Amino acid sequence: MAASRFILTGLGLSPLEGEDPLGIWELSASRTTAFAATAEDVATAEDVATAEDVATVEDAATTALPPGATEQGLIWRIELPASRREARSELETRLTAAKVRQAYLETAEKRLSDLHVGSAYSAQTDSAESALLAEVMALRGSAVAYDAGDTGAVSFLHLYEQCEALVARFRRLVQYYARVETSVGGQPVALTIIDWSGDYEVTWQDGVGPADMALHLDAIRLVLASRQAWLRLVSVVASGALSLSIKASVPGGQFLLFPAVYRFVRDVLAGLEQVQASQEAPG
Amino acid sequence: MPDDLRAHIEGDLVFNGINAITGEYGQPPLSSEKLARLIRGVPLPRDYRDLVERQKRLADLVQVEDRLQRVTDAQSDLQAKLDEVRLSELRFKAQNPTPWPTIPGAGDPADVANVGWGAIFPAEMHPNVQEEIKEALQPLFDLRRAQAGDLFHIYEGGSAYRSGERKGQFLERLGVGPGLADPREMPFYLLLVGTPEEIPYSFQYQLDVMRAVGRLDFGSDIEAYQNYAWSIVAAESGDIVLQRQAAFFAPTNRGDKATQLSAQVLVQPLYENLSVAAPEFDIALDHDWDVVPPFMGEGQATHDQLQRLLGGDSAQTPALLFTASHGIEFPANHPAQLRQQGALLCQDWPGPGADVLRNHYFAAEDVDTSADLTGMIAFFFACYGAGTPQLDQFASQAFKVREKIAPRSFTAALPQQLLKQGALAVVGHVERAWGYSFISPQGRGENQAFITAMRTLMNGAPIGIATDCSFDMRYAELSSDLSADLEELKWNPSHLSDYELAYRWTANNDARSYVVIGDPAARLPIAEPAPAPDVQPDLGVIAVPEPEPAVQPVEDDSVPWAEDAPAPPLLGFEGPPGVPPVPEVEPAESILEAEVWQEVSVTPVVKAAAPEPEPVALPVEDELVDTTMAGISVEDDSVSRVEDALTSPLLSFEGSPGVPPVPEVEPAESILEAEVWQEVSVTPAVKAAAPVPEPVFQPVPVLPAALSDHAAIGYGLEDQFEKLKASLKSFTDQLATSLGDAAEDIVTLDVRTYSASDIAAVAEALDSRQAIRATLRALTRVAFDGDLQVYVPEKIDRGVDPELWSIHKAMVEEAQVSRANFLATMAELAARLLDSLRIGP
Repeated sequence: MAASRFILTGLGLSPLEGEDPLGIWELSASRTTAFAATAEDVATAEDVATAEDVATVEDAATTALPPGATEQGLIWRIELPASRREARSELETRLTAAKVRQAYLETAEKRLSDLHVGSAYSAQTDSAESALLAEVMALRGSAVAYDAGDTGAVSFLHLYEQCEALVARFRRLVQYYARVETSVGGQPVALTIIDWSGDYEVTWQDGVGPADMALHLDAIRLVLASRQAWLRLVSVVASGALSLSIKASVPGGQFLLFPAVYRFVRDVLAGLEQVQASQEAPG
Repeated sequence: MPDDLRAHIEGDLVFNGINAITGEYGQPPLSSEKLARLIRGVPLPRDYRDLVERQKRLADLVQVEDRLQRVTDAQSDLQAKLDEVRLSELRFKAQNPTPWPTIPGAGDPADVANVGWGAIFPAEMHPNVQEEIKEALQPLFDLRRAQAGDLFHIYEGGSAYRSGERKGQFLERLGVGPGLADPREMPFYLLLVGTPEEIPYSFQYQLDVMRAVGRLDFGSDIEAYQNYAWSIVAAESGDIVLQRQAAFFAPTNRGDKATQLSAQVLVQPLYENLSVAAPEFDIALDHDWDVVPPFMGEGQATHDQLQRLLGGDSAQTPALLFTASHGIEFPANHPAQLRQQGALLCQDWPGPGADVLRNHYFAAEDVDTSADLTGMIAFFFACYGAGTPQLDQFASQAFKVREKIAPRSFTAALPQQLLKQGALAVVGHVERAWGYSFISPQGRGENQAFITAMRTLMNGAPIGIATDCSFDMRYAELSSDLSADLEELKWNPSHLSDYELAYRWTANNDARSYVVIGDPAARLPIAEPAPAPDVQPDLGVIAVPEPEPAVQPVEDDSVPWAEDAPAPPLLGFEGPPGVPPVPEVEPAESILEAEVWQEVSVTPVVKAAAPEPEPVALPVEDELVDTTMAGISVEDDSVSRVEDALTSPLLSFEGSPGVPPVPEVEPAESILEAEVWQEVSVTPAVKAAAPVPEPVFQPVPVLPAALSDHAAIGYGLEDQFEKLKASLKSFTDQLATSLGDAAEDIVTLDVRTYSASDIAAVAEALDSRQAIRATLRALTRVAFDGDLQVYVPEKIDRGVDPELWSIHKAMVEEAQVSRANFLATMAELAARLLDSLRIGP
């Protein structure tokens, strides 16, 4: 029996930034061959990337298109099994997950606001706060701990590059309208475009039945909940980075801390998800 | 007004309904300040305003401010245009000195023959169903046709009401002008035949401003339509005659402010007023009425008593019944909602906080099936007493969020049942009813609309006239005043206090929502006195004197007439000469005199008068306080809630303003807050997380303070920093642009539904921006004020697909909710990013 797939294309997150922090969508660079760069080709943070490399990746994602083709924007594809009951169950599970993640974001935001950057300390590295604080202190103390040498410059450069890549991805999230495509049992059901003013254009496959119509409506709800959660996530990251930079007295840190805070939020979400999963596990 | 009652009026607006499941309020209270803030201007989301303020500090984003300002101006203009047509009619009605909204020369609108009668069917009603209903209503149609002649019309087929049409569009399509009703263009009396889904309440409200409108909605119960038609015919043909008797029903639930006020400020004064035939400044009653003292309070306004009044005891069933109570509310989609929402909560309910049991409220199925209610007309003052809209009208105004409160708009079952069993009409309230229907902010009783409606009806006028000259006039006046106030507030924010503004707005919406269920031309079939019999009065014995002897003339020609010759007899009298003429019997100058003059025999089928109930002593102030406080389980942490509740001014009559649930979050002022609140509430049962081990912190030497200059700059990474800042600024620009674009387009929301034979081809065409081959099946445009325009392609080979139509409507609903949430989140994100840019190094 075919499994469900929930694919988001056009966001272009690199594997380093991880999968969808919501844990709902497969992130795919593009479904057409128009895009020269795929997710796997994007330089990772571990690699020593240069500004030019980053620019190349970004440019590739936006310019390497065949004649006549256009930037696709975000496409949310929902491939559901032929069993309507299973399909509905899948959608409900993920919709619940999206709403739960939004609640988790509240937790992440709270934990960010509770973070104290007072007396310097080192901490165990197995908590999200610890990892974040370590990065903050590294940033704060780098001017002293590191001499003005290549190592320090490269570190900062890394941060800028990561941040730029992240911002570029977030920009795609708000730059393009949402397109939702649903198929059931391999058969296309409907395609819906939602633009920025909230207008809907829904195109149904001729002959589609009410059960499949309902599935597509649920798919739209899932997409909107996911997009909502993504925007919320970016909002939490932005405010968290700003708040942290002020606490840490790192001028300009609200930019540099973007990637670190993003990873913190992502780790918090994953941690909470693990806790829930362990509590719900049988036995 | 007693101080304790007055105290009830002050305080927070109780935005509530009593939930039949929990016995509690369904919505947290709202202060008049907050409500007033929301009402004052065209909605400007708080995030937008903050965003504008932030952008003012960023010179290169001024254009976004301009754009947002244009958006708000556009919103204002659109709002004004949308309201202009509607308000112009309301202003005219309020200011026009003529008592009726018909053109001069039309004649007395109480006579159908002068002003016409019509029925409006919805275009989307199945033709077979429509034909069956028409056939069932044929007796009514025949009656009205005979009365109205050329002024009778049935609006069906091409002239039927089309889904989504506003009143103005409907009239314009049929060539009918706005303003005073011209019966030659469209009858004054209009009966809507269909559900509120088919012909929405908004259309009924609008049409009712200048015409008398009623609704008949029995769904697919064809027999009910037939029975109702015969009830009207029987009543108007004289086959049914009722004794002129009016009764009142008013529970005063323990500890419940709402029913205390409705009983003491509405029902009791109404009863006292109507007990006087001709009070000063009120319409005099043409006949004597038996105005029965109210069934009020403990032991009186019970479920059993209401059943008796509604046909359970023919001796007690009046011609005219007025009730004031809470109406029952159910959560949306509750199994009992469609059957029982709007049921009348009786004295049997113990009060706030207590469970609402089934025998506490009177619903449709409680009407005795053998009850004969033929000829009755009833007024229900209760929330949802006449019906329920699908979307919360009040919340949509206050919070700009349209919550679904019912699976669909529907007519309340109780009025329907009464009509099925012979009642001619029920006047009730759609959605929530507020205390502002009869109380001003200063605590003055304002019952005039009710008094006027009742007196007009008691004098035999049609129900549509009774409500037009009362509730509709009140609505017109309030709307006219409110629009002027809102306009003035733009220039003078202190023109109205928040409290006053909240009152006017709520009172306006409340006045709008009274509707007639039934034929608006129906009138009480009350007994008329028999005409005076043709009987000469007995004047007693008349003495007839002997006539004077006749004077013989003198034969001598030389002798003239003697001067003392008797005068010749007077001519022209029937009686003997010299006798005073017998005066003709003058006919009675009024029916009243004739009635006094001789006894009037009562024609058959007259219901006996109900025995007068024991007079009910109203609780004095001290007793009232005791009643209010008694029976409430007050815990330490809820005392303040009780006190707050006791000072609540606006009382919705769905439940008791006892102890409203105190929300953990303040009532939402923005979509974002509401969304957050809702999101938390729907979070599934996530078990408490396992305790996270506290990080172990080890002190290390304090690092020196950060460099005064940016470290990146210190490392020669200025370019990188500037590039990152530019990237972030670009992101924010993009966000603001998208937000601005969305805000510009926010005045309408379009949902288009297409169908295509090959979706994959559509996707490819979208990718390559080529022409898309799809058929437009439906388009809905939602205006900023929530009004819908629905367009359905006329040439559809397959007709209107009900399944497609159903999913299209679901999409419209989803689009409305999702857009609001999305824009709020975007605005928040923009604000936070701008903070980052503003603070920057």
